[in-house]
Amino acid sequence: MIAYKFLRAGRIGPFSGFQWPECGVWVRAEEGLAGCRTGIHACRLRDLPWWLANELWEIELEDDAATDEHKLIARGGCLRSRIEAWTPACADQYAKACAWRARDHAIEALRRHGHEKQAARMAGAGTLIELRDAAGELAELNPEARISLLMSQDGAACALTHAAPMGAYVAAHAAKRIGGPVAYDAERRWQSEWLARHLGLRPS
Amino acid sequence: MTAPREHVEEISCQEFVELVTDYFEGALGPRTQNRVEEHLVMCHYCETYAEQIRATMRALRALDDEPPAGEPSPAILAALRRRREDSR
Amino acid sequence: MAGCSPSRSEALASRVGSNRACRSSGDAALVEALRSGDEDAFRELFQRKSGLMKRIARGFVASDAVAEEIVQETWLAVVNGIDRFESRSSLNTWISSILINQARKHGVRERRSTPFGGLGSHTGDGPSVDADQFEKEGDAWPGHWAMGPRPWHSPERRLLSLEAREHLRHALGQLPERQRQVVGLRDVEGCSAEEVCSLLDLSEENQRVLLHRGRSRLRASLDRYLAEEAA
Repeated sequence: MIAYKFLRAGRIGPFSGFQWPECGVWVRAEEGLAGCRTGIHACRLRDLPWWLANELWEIELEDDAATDEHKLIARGGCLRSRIEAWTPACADQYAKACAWRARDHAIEALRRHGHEKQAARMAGAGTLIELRDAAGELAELNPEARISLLMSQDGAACALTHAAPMGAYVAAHAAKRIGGPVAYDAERRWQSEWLARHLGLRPS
Repeated sequence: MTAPREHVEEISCQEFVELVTDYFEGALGPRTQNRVEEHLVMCHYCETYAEQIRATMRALRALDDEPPAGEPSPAILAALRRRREDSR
Repeated sequence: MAGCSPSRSEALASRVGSNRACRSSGDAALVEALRSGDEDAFRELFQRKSGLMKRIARGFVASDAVAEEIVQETWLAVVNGIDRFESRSSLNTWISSILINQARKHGVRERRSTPFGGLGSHTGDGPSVDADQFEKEGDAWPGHWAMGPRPWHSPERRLLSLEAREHLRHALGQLPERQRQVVGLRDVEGCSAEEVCSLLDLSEENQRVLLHRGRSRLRASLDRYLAEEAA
């Protein structure tokens, strides 16, 4: 089956430090898929938000791949091609998109407490810096929506410092703050779909 | 792909710094291992902390340069001499 | 973004590499040399291993002088007892276990002769990182870094300086005894977890807890050192 794999620059496994060979060469784990440590790890589209790293690859897995929470584990895998569209610039765009999402969740929090003017101010922020500053100011003034506003401020800060995985985490928790675990899951799904769309990936 | 899934509780940084040794030792259970890896992808602060623990370990390895502890005592040299005499 | 975790076998391999001469055929030749009283071969072994043995012994007792005594006693026991060495373990392991036994005997003696058994002023329990470094309940991100750890700039170069190493040696010496022993054997000497558990009579879990506390404290100590040095 076809899946995806994030690697550090130079085709290096982010946790194992394993140097992956070039495309088309099969890598097999040791005998016995006991525990999640032995095995080739990869992810489905829906798992992408959890595993961001420098390089994204399409990987073919041996058919016995098992699901383990947010990843797949297989006895063998073979890199097929690099997803060239995943670049630092794309990661930046993603971080920004997540920051605006966290902003939207803060707006929702403000509206629920009847703070329409503050919600409008947040909606009017045109740049990340404006967003960060507005969120920070309003958080001081607004105990009810304070946490949501701080989260929005952090989301903007992550986008400004190119910290995409943290920015996505912030957006997911901003969603959870107003809508619970169901909203968290929905936000992560939104993130997978954003990535799939911008990277030209299709569900298998 | 749109089926609802369980929301999994993530670990915090404060929990991570207590798990870091077990993580390096490969002693975490599979669920906790997943939580730690997912946390490290997201949290560059904890990645920095983990790297500082690794740097500490490397610095400790470099302490292995202790000069020798003096000379063998007369008692040891005598014991060696006795062995030489016995093996003639 | 996430780094790779060093495997135990990598860490041990770099140590075993330098000790490899002692294993396999190297062991047999050395044992033979010791049995026949070869002073040159003994001196070479003594030079090579004594520094490390002293540091391991130092983990058990309060002074350098006693640690040196322990090393001498160990070598005497090795020379006198070499006929009893059966190659079931490596020579290194055998010498280490004699060392640990000698060190323990001295350690026990010392504890009996000092008031309150020399327990030390604290047990070393408590969080690895001060709770005030993390956000609290009521903050946006409870349990997450409030500021984040200070980045260490050029750690490889700075931590290898003589001064940094002395600082680290001192900090290691200041650890509570059992943490000092575990960190010394695991991270300085490069022993495996199994070896340390066996040498110090610890469960795997206890060994990991001690290793964790020791490393956390040493990291904190190096963090303070690097911050002061940069200031």
